[in-house]
Amino acid sequence: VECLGNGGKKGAGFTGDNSSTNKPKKDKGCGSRGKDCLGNTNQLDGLIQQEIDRRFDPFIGWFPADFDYAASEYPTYDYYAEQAYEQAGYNLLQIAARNQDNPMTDDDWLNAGVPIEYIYNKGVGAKAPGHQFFLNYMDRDIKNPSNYEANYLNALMTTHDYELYKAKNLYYQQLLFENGSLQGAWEFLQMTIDIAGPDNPGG
Amino acid sequence: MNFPKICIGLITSVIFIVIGCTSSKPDIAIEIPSFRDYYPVLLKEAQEWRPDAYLDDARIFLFPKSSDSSVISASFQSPSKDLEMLGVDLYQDGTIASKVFTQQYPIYQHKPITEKDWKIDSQEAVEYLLEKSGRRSLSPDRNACSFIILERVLSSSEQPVIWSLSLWDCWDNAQHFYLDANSAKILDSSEVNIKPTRFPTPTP
Repeated sequence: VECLGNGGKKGAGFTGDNSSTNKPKKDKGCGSRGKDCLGNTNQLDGLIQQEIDRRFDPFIGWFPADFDYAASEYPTYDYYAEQAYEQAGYNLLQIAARNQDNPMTDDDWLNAGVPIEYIYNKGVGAKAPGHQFFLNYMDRDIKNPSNYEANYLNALMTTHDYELYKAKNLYYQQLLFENGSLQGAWEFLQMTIDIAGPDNPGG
Repeated sequence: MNFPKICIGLITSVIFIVIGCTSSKPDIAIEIPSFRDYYPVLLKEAQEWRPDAYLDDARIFLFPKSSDSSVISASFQSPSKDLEMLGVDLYQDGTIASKVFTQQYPIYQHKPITEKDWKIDSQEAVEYLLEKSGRRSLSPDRNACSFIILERVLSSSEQPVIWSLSLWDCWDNAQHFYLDANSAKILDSSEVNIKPTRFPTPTP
């Protein structure tokens, strides 16, 4: 697994391989511990970045790590929620590219046959650590978490590759800064691995 | 009863409590770089990428963590590049690095932010907004990831240039404060976070 700082990872909307350094004056890699980023031998570093990518994933980031998203009813709900934007007359990617608020109303969701409870429940995902971090980095007001159901969050990440990259890097740096080492950061992530979202996501 | 031991225990506890209460860094007045001073250098870097590069936004961190942490992180766009943008970072040790990002979705090309678009500089903006928030100083611990960002409000028809201050501990919700970068008018959240209108006509 390559490191975030080297732009080698592909997360949700993460440009990774496509990015290139215009003028490589200094490798800023993964923050102050750049040497950890350069070697492929540092498995722990790779695992940390994998977990960061998982936490930032707009569809699965709010679930506990062992939650089987593909086997749940959520992919279907997410698909119908995505269709609801089009049905209500919105181009979701265009809205996200302009950094506009989520325009959907309760009626819009109901007209598209999407249960409101699902939207509100999923919107709580904005409280998941990775999502919350990205939205805060994006300078978004997340007082109303129902604005941030997975498709809207995905559109924001898709249209803001650069901010997503920078947010993940800051998250990584902050983990190292607060926990002192890769080992400390990994232990912290393990302690909080099940609190990414609600205890009972299906409930 | 072993009175001396109890006394020593109590005194030790008090010492630990006092140390515990004072170990977090005290609030400090905020001093950040002048964006007006650094803008020409950052723009020059961007123009080496594309001569028509223009500023999209600039984020200035209030508490950079180390010498190689980014102090100013600016993004530039080019009218001739819909799927590329440039990130330019000024680090605390004074170095500048830039990186081209390829976007998955075409960039929203907006009116450039130029030097004429902000009369209020970064330090002044922080002071205005901290006053609005009722503070004069900030704790580096409780506001470790705080930043101020110069940006256009793309969702507004006039697309004004604003300074937005985010007071953020890195983990919980940030507090946001907004200032018109020209008039120094404090803006309400509703003037910045605007919902789009429907387009095209909703499908029946």
